[in-house]
Amino acid sequence: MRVDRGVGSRTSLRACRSVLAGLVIVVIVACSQPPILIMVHNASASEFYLRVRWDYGEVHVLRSVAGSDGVVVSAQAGHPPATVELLRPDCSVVGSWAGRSGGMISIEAGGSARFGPIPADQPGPPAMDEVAGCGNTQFPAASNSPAAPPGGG
Amino acid sequence: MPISYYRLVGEQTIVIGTISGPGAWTRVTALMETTSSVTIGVSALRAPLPGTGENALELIVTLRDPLDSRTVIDASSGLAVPRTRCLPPAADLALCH
Repeated sequence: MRVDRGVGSRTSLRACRSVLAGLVIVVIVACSQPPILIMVHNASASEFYLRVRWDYGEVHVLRSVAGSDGVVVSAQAGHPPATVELLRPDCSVVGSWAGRSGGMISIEAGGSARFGPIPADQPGPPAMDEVAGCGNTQFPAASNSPAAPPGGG
Repeated sequence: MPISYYRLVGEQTIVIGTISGPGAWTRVTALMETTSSVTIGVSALRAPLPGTGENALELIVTLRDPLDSRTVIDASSGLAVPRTRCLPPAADLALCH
């Protein structure tokens, strides 16, 4: 009796190729993910703070000077996601955004804020100064003193 | 790959900063602790993928013992890695050390 093994073999080969192709696609997608970039655009006449916190316990607080732009988070794809909070200088929270891979926090002239895409023509903004206090783990506030620049200004 | 800086984020946890490019899988490949130093090596495996530019890459390293006053050494150069307290791109600023 003649047994046709061709159909079964071709099916197995096709299945293996599909799995392999899927794995290759996953690797390509994973290696091609863009970096994480969150910026802030402060169009108001007030100073605000951006507090960045990670689940592993690190917290940074950055100063957004009135009328300026800045980089809040700049990291390679795969870095743990951060929660970014917009604070007033008294550390009260204006807004909070968690797990965003990229975008711009726009502070309007009236002090309200929204999270949106980074404009295509946005030039690279400068780094932002760290602020002591408001939970900053690298620059903790001195006791009985308001948040101040790390340089003591 | 060279390590640009490190930040202490916990007694036994540090974040190291390096530079990585597109399509690269960068990870810690060596970690050796002694009573006086912590030596860390970082390697990258690059895939033949399109893309340009490089980005600061931070990797979290958990130590066996608290870092305390031990020196962090870059395995690729044998040199001490400077400590910073800031996030990139500000990590190199003088006031962050």
